[in-house]
Amino acid sequence: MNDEMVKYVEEVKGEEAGLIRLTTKTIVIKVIETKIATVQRLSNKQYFLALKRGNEGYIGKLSNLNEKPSLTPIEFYPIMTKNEKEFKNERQSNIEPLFEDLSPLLSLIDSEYPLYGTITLSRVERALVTSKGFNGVESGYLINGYFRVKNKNYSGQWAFSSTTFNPQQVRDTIKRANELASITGDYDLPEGRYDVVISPLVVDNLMEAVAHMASGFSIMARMSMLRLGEKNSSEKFTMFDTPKNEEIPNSWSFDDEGTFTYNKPIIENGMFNKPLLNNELAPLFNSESTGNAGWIRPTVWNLEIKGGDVSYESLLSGNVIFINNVWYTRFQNLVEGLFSTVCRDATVVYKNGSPVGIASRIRIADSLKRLLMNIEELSKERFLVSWWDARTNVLSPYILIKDVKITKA
Amino acid sequence: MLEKIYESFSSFPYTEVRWHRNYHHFLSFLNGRLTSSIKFTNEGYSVRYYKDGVLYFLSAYTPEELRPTGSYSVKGWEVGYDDTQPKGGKYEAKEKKPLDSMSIDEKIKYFKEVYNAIKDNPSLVSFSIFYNENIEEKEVLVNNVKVQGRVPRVYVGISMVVKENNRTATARYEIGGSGGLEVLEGSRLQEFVQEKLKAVEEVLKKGKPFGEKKTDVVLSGMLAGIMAHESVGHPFEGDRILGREFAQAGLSYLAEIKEGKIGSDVVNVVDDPTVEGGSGYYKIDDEGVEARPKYMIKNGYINELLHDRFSAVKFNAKSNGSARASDFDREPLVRMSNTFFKPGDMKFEELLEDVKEGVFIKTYMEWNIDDLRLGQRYVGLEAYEIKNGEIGDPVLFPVLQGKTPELLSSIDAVDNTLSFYPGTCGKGDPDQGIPVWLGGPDMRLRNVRIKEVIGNE
Repeated sequence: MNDEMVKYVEEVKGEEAGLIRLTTKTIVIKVIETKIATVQRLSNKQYFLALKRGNEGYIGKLSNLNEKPSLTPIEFYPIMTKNEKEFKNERQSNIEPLFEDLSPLLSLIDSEYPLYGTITLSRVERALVTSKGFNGVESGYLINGYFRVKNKNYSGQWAFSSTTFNPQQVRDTIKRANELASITGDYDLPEGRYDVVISPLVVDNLMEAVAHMASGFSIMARMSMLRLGEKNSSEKFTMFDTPKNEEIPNSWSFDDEGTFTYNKPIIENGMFNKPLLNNELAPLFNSESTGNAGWIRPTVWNLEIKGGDVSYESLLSGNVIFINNVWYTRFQNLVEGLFSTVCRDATVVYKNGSPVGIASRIRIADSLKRLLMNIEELSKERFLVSWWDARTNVLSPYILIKDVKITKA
Repeated sequence: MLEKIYESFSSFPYTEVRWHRNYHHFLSFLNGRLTSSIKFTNEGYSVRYYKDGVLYFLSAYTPEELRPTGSYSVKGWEVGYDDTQPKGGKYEAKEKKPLDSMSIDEKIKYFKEVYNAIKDNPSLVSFSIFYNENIEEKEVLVNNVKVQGRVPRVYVGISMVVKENNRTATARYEIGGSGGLEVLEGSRLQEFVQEKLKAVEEVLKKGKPFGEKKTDVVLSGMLAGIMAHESVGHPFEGDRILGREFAQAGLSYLAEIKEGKIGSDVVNVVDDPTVEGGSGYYKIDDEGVEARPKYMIKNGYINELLHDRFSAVKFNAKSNGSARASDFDREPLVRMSNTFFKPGDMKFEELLEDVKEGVFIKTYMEWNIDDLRLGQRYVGLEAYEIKNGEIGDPVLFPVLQGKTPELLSSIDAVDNTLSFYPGTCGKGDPDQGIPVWLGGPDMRLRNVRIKEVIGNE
């Protein structure tokens, strides 16, 4: 298995050597005004090498396995895990036939309001051979899509992410975007603090940032609002990194250093106890790798937020602002978590449990720490989503947060 | 090779074939320690062809994989293309001081010395440098006419966390352009970093809240640049106005406001790929159309949109050479290049002299804009009060928030300077970050709202 790679790693003679092969086959369909604008077919095979030999090394891409790396000085380098196992996992999916015939997917493009969006299908194979004896290969499929519909000045958006093709999931996503866009009427919302309900799309956008700050590298660089062992969220909030759920794309069994992955809470009942680590950062935290390498920077695989006990509808029963989507999240200060993000695609003002209009051009401008602490309730319903401005797959409930600062231009 | 690929797609009415290689060498440092030295070459081939309203784009790392995949009986969104005869030729951004004229050891030493110059400052919590040398090379074949381009670039990103007076700030700066190591040399990086650290320290030490009020604001060239890019460049992209990015980065206010005046007489915003030294430099675009300056706003009036061959035809216009792809596996899209407010004749002191009370925002931290490119927000980092025409004490994190036509109309004067900053502009799906330059002069805005800061109050 991976014979060429094994030979390369043997011949390159490093104290530490890891060679990754990433092979991808992707189709991206772009929909505009319910019509097809582009069909993209992208194919790639890439080799990445991490090598340490004395005080020199190489991290980077190789054009092919005939290329010998040109070494440069290194001070911080990936350490491979002592793991002498051979590992193979080839996942099958009903997505594969779509690469030959897209018509079952294209026939689903139908919508009441003009439909915009993207559907992506991909087959990804990751192989890793290390100087510490690991030899693994794993492959899987993904399909994800996000749709935005336009109802004059109003819009709605929804998304899905999966490892299998389910036509009903595509139809439901389009239907949900249409439902959200059908809520009309302007509501002039003054700036101030409000109770808000954020959808899984918003959770994805914000928690992606939290996960980034949970990386051991961010903590080492003091670019994080998270403090280890401190309560930084409501007790109701638990967020996992889930690489071991084959229904979620980007689930992998081994990381880039040959450590087997596992599901873990990053924040558990409001406490941040688990920074995401690779082998080189683990000693700084008196810990072991969490299976999140990432050479140099450990990263999250997928996010899963624990659901609550109440229904989504009950979260909207009072006076709340429902925020369905945000984009352009930017931080003013990573240490304190100060940020703003722009709301879009159905920001619905609810009074006594009934929608009274759409607030446009508003922002959440607050501290992300404060938002996490002010989490009041989470819905029991959860959705697996990812989209253009929040690429991490997140399985998330709707979340009610108290006293969120809203500003507008 | 391109000719051979082209041949197998010759039955389609429009076909372009591209070989594209991007070499990168990244060096990153955290508190003076080299955290990574990463070499990366992205190289491969692509074909884009048009049939019955649909654009088909194929890419692969080997040319043998590129074969026509047929087409589908679907409703296509495109309506045709501008068939202007492509312009062949070669263009190149010269390295006055070649990238390899410094050894890797010398480069590492250079960046370590930058850190050594500030490391003893007790206010400095952490300091990161991200350096990227990039050589972009491409060959494009459109209608059997060949375009060849080579653009080397240098980029330095600086990030620092500063703590003083029980307040913290995260400050980021970007320096760069096309060319060779003269870009790095011209940056005076060590002095620049020392100045910036001192300025941020002063803000944290002495800065006071400005309060929430309508006031006169002077924006530096750095803020003019981000405004030119976000509030003018993006909404003037023809494909965005048509809705091609509606599900991603959104629409444009120009989908509603088709023509007329959206800024004061002194507002002139240009996108010009031919600016030498610019990160967005090129002479011929990726559809074989000659590049030229585009005056998007002229004397305050909407004047010209950015087009590729496919957006132009929907506006009954000609492409103005704005199509670019970031890598071999990305489709060409309407992109900005070097985008800036044009400077005027005044001196900086003249901008200030009749400001009784106001604020000068020199650098910013957080910024964003809504998906119509109307409502925007900039949070100042280095900011100073202006009193009776003089720069005064530091101001703590003023927030400028307003709508594009209001802000552009409130600009009553621009000075005679022009500074540029590199950026990576995102667009499309799959996302493609592309090198751009953003810039402008210092600009005076009359009677605009400054909002209160959050945090650190």
